[in-house]
Amino acid sequence: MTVDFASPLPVYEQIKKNIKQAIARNIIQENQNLPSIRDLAQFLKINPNTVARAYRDLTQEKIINGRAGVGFWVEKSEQLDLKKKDILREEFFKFTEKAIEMGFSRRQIKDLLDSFFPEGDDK
Amino acid sequence: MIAIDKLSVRFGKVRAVDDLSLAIDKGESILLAGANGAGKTTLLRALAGVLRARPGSILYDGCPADHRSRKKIAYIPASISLYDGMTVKEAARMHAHFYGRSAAWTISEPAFRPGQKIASMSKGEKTIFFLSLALGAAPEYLFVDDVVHFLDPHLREVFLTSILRLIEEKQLTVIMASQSAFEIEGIPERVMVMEKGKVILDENVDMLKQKFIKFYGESIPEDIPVVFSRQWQNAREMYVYPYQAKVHHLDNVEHLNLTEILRAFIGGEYARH
Repeated sequence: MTVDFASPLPVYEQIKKNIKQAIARNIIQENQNLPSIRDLAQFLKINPNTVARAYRDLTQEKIINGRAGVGFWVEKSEQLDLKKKDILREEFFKFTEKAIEMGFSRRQIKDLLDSFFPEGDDK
Repeated sequence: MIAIDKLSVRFGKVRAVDDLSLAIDKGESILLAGANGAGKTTLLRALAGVLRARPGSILYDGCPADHRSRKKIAYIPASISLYDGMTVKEAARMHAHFYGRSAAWTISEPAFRPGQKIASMSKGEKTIFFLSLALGAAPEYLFVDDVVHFLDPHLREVFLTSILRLIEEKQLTVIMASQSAFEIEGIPERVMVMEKGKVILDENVDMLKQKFIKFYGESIPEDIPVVFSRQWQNAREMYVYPYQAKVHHLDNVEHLNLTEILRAFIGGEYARH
C-alpha cells in the first residue's frame, strides 16, 4: 500500500479506498486480518490517528470489523458481495460524474464502456 | 490542552513572538514551519518553559507551567551543548534528577555506552540520545526543534518510529518545527506557518491540501487569492490559497504535497496580503 501526499484526497480516505479495492479484487479475503494500526502507521510513516480514522470508518461501513487493541479483520462474505457492488457503484459514480463534467452524453459513455468488452459478448 | 494567550517574547527591539494566541488540543500533531528567524524556536522555548512568557500566558490543562507540569513536557532543541562536558551516564543521572525518575531507555538502537562523552557524538546521535532520555520521562507534550534534517536515514527511522509509538500509546501532543515537511509529511494533522513572530497560517493539513492549488496563466486573474507567483517560460506559475473550485472555476489545477505548499508560504507574499 502506498499513499500519495500530493493528492487532495485525505490520507485516511486513500487508505479506505486502498483496502476496499484490495477486498474487491480478493487481495484481502474474508476473515483475514488487517495490519494493526501501529504496523500500518509505521509502514507508511503516518500518524496512527490517520489509520485509526480509516479503520473506524470502514468498521462503520461494515466492511471490516474489530477494534483498536484487539485487531481488525474483513467481514463475512454475504455482506461482502453486497459491499463489492457498493464499491463498484462508487467508482462508477465518480467516473460518470467526471464524464458528464467533460461533456460526454449518456450514449457516448455507454459506448465507451461497451468498447472494453469483446464484440458479441452480451453476457 | 495548551492555551496560549497574547504571548510576546522580545529580544531588545525584536519581537521574536508577537502577540500570539493559540489553542492546542491533547493528542494533536502539529508542524510549525517558517523561515529562519520567524520565531519557531522562540515559541518552542516559551512552550517548554525555557523562556518566560511575558507579557502573555501559557496554560497547560488550565494551569500555568510550574515544576510539576514541566515534567509532562519534553523539549528537543536543535543544538544541545548543555551536556557536552558529561558522559552518557552523567547526563542520564542529571536528567533523572530533574524529572524525578530514572531515565528508562526507550530507544535501544543505537546503543550508547555509559562512559561515552556526549561531546563525542554526532549531532544526529545527540538528538536520538536526548529523545530517548526525554521519552523515558513519559511526556504528554513533545516539542521538537528543526532536527529531522540532520538525522541520517536510519536515525530518522528510529526517531519517527519512537514518536509514532507514543502518539498511539499515550496520545502524545507533538509540535515539530521544520522548514519543510520532507520525510515527516504523514505525521502532522495541523500546520502552522510563522513569519516575524506571528502565525500567518494555521490550518488542518487535509483542508490545506484541498484548498491549495497551483496553475499556469498569463497574468494574475482578479479575485483569485494568489499567494505566490513566478514567471516560468511564457506563463506565470501561480500558487493559490484558499482555492474554492465552485467559485474560482480554474482549469488544469495541480495539487501539491506539504513541502511544496510550505515553500510557497515561506518567503511568499501571503503575509503581506
